[in-house]
Amino acid sequence: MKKVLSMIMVVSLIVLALTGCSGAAKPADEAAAEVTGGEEASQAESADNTTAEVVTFWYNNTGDEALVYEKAISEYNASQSKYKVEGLSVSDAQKLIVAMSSNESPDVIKVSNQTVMQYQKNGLLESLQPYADNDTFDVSIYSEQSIAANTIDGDIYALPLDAYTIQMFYNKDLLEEAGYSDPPETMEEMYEMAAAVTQVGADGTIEILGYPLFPYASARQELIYGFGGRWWNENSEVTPLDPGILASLEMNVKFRNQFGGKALDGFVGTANTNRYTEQDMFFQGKQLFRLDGSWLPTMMDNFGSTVNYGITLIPGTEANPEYRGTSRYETDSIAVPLMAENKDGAWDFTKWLCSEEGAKIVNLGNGNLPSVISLYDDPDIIAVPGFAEFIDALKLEKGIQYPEMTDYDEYISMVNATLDAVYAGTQTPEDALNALAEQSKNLR
Amino acid sequence: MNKYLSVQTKKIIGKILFYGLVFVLTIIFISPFLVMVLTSFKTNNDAFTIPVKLLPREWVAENYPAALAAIPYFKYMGNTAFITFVSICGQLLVTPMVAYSLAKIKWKGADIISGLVMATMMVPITVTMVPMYKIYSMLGLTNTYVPLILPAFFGKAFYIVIARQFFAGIPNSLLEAAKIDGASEFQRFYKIALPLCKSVMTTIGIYAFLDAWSDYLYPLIFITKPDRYTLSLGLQQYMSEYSVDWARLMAAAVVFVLPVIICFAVFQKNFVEGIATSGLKA
Amino acid sequence: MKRRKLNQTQRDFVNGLLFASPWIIGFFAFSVYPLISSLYYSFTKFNAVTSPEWVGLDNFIDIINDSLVWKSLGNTLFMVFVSTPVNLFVALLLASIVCSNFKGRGFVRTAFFLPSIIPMVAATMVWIWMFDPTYGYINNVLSWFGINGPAWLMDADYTKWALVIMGTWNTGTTMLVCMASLQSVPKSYYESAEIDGAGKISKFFNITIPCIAHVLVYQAVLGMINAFQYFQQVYIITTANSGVKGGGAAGGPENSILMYPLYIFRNAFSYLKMGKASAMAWLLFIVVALMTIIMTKVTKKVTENAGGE
Repeated sequence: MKKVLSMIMVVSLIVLALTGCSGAAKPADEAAAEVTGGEEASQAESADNTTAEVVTFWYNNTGDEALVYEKAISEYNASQSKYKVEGLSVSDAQKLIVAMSSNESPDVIKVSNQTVMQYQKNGLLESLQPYADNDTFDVSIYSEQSIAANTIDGDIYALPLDAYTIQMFYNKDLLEEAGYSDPPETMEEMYEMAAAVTQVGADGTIEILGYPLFPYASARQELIYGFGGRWWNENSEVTPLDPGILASLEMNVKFRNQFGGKALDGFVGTANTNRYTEQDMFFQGKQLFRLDGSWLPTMMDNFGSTVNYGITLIPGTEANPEYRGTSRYETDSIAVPLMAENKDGAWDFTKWLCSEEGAKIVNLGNGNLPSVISLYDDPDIIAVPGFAEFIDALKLEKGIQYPEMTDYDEYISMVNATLDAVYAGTQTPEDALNALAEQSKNLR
Repeated sequence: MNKYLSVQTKKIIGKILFYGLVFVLTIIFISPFLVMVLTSFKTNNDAFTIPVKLLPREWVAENYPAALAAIPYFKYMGNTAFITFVSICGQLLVTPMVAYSLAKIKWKGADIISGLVMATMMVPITVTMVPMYKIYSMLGLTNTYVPLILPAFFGKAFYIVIARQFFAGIPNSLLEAAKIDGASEFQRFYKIALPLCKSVMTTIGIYAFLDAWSDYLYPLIFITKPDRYTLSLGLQQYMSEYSVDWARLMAAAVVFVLPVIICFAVFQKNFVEGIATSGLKA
Repeated sequence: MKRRKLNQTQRDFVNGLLFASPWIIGFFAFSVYPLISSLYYSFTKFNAVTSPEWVGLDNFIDIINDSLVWKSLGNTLFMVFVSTPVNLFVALLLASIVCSNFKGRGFVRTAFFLPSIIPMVAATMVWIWMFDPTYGYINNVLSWFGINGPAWLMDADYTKWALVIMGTWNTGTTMLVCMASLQSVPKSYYESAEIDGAGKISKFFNITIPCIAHVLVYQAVLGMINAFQYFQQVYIITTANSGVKGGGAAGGPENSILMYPLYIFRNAFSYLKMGKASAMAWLLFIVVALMTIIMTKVTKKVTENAGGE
């Protein structure tokens, strides 16, 4: 009996091996690349476009978001017969870097514009400026911020697809219960309201969190930008000793001391695990202020959240009310790696995807803000919950761009470690920032 | 009378303590498996209830088909099986040869090579990874299985050490007798030494299987396109997605782990004996 | 007469070389060449796309000034000097249990061993879930005893201890090796000791330990070499997106689980500083080699003294 079992195991192992073998036997066969959900469409195309050149496009979205990209791809393929785009979902940034620096590079990639900056500084990207010039491509269809976000040393290295900005969501009911009718316009007001609303349970755990300690990314950026703090300057040099950063961190620490660091960490830890799920703290009415993006209203709708929320600009300070409304500015960008094979096809697809026609598919499908100015007034786009407010914020053009740094990833890792130390109370903000300045002085 | 009783009670207390310890430890060691399986049958909301309950409120099976759909599990398993199978073949082909040379052939280089073999065990994989990456990249072999399989055909230090010890234990008289009969070195190896080493080869086969099946770093570096991913990569990719559905993730983990458990169940005796004796004559 | 002897030795040499040739070729291709070129890269600056550009000692100066290099080295040394002995102790404990004869012994042995052959990715995933401060089982079980569990993988003070705990779960293979060596101690030793009136503890320290000492040492050295390369678990934890501090420092909270190999990997493939990564890797090699040589020499002396029965 055991012998039979072992024989079966060995045979099935061999069979499985052979199925994997057929995949391995064609190392250079591009056609074997998997296309999620768009297979039928592209097969229909290939019936008439047997001579179409293949252009490979890698994006890092999965699941439903990936399907949106595939839809855009099949529309592009149907609209012309010279190129055939094949999409691939690769969600690991590691894989992207490794592939881009080998001969297996994709022709087109979608990454955030901060990644575009970093890749360009590391010599991984093809400049799109010559292509744009040859085509007399009109970049004024994009908002100034979005093109600036993808221009390095005066040349365009990517075209913007989506736009990101962060706003402050607030729970109207919690605010009213605490006796306030309007959302805060300054950080000081926000602190007051946050302290009033924060509820501590009998065992010391936080039940409702007022201060926007979560998500971590916005605590690192918007919460500091509102104080005028900047982690880098216009020359892309690191500026950890900026007084605005110190001011923000001191208020942050003050809040932690008032309500207990460990308890707050517990709340934030839970928020981290259940974020963007039905249990999300804000969706369940347990957070007063939440600095987050344009996807939040759509998510809340999908999860059937009953929170009565409002959207407003990130507060400024009493001393500098003009800081109000600053937030990071980011785009999803389409770029062409240096080692790409079919660069002309790559440019053609990039142009189309980031035009009004292509961008609208992706913006609507994935609930992201547009970069194309004409889409600002598109009725379908404005109909998305929350978009009207976000687009108004975009029009202010107060976004903070990412720096053109080679070592950006490394810098952010250091910043996060510094913030960890400050939040945990291991170091005072001043000491931590001084240490960071020392650590990061050689970064470019 | 009293003394006798207290010895008895001592024994009983001893036994209770012992069994208690065994029980607690066993529970501790099994609990991750329990957690994995039980969570996989919960809905994600159920998984996020506080206070956490062990058993699902409602047993759902939907995570399994969803997990299998989200990652092309069988394709990854096929890839991994292919790599594993070829690697095992390579190791089993090369290891006995090298071990025999070091243990049974009296030549000058034997000691030096043995020393070098042991020395290579100290070389961290991170040292060789960048140059290997550069080479394979230049040869256009990234995203193929060549970087993963090729080293198997040149022997791995750990296996050679084990095999060498085994061969050293084969009595020389057997080989001497064959030599007198006029057998060549190769014949002595093939007809006498090799058949004798089935047990140690099984051990090495098992180690090679475990190593290749769970290999992570090399696939991470060299395989770029999802259709070539191995199981470990596929699962990790699933984990680094934007928001994690833990219940579904646990289902994926269960499916991932099941073949290894089944394999173990079938070959249990070989696993235990092989691994246990591999460390004896160090 | 003389001619035959020469031929025999020569023949043996040729055969020996021939049989060992696969490994020898592999040695040059996969060990010597990478080691040398890695050494060369240490003095250059390059990412995978551009060609290497000689910068002399710049990388080494960078390493000396980079506080994270030292922090990561410290983290790795923690694993080497804390996790390895703990694992060995646990393996020995489990092995002693499994050596005793009792009902259900086979099942218990399977329970102890099975975790070590589970692929690391799956195991790490389950542990991340179990360590979750709010939804994880570990803190919930602790709460039954009235203990408020820490934030484990999200709290810089506890992350490494979480790793140590995870490590003990994987000691199955070491356990089997210990079990076999425990069983190989001749029963007669114990019997004659009992006759002399030795108690359990005395038997353990005076008979068992010396007899299995060389096995323990070998496992310890192997364990330390592995601990120096501890990478997979921390990579998975730091790239996971839930249950851990998402979007944080490259090495977990306050870089507390930034292990040296992880930092090498990040430098090579995330920051594209392959020259610096090669330099770091070479330093690791030297450290590991030195450590292994010292350990082997020291323990040889100790076991020579102890094992002389």
